[in-house]
Amino acid sequence: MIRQIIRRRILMAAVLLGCGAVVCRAGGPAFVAGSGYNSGVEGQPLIWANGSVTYFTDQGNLSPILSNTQGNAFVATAFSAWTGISGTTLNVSWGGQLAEDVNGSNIETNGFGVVTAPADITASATGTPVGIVYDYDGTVTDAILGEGAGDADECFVDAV
Amino acid sequence: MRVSGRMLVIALLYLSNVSLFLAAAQQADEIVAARVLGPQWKQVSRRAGMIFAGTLLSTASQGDATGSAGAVPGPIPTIQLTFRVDKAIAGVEPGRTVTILEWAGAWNMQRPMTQGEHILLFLYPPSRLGLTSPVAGSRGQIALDQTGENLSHTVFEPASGIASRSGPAVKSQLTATGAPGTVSHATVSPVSVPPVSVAQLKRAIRSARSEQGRP
Repeated sequence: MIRQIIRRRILMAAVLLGCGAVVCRAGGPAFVAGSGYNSGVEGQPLIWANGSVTYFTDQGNLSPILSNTQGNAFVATAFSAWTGISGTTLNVSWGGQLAEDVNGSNIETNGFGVVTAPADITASATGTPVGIVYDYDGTVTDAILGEGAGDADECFVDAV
Repeated sequence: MRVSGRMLVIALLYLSNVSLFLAAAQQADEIVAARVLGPQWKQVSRRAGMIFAGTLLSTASQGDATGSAGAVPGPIPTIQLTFRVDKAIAGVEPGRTVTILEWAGAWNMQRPMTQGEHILLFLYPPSRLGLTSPVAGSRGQIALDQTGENLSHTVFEPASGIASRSGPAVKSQLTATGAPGTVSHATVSPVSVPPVSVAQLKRAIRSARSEQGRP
């Protein structure tokens, strides 16, 4: 009887460990290459070349209570949370400022239904591979995600 | 006199039972809505300009990535999505075809949608540029089963937010070993949920919106 109980407990522990292993499985790429990439790379993880990221920040203030300088410090601290993990080979460095203060007024349409933005934050801007926009009043988010998306109470879900 | 008094008591009992039943049903709907949409479900329901269960008919990319040089503004890639409205909840009429324009960056952050898929969408009112997206990111985009009547048995857990508005918005340009193209989500977490009908959610959503005087 006792042997049976012990056997059950061992079995239970094994099952729990197995479940734990499934639940705890982490890692893996956030994105993989889809259609449109060079042939042969589809399905492969998207990675930063040489594990190096250079980012550029907005010229404007981050918010009514956080200046541009404070915003830059905030961003640097956020990146360091990732680069500081032991075993991480990712290098992140600040490349300077974007060419403008990105705000709702420079996200526009060209009159032909094409939405435009300052060149250095568009997908083709290889010179500024990561552009960080400080959406001071939510108008950039409103413009690109929809009316109301830039409101303060939406911030935790709509920052991208 | 005694008979009419008894009738009155019976009628009152009947009415109280009906109101209790309705209150219980409403509470059940609200519990379901909270489970599916999260604790902020009322906010999500009220924030949306359009809510409907629909079928994705087509997608088309707009705006190329060739961009522009120097200070000349460049195009932002967008996705044009066309849906047939199967069940209208707010801001749209049933049976209509709705075409929306979404920033490709937002589209890439959501659970992928395929043509013919039934989906329940909560969309922000279009911006002055005509762009919209699901309210609260993936939370405003819920997969339905093949009938379009119920939520898909397996709901994919929405991606969590990264930073606040006061925080930075990052224009990410992830580069693979090839030219830029569309990206696919590598991992999504399936979560099994008991069957939930669109009708249940519709009642809860309409109730939440009517509390604020919205249709």
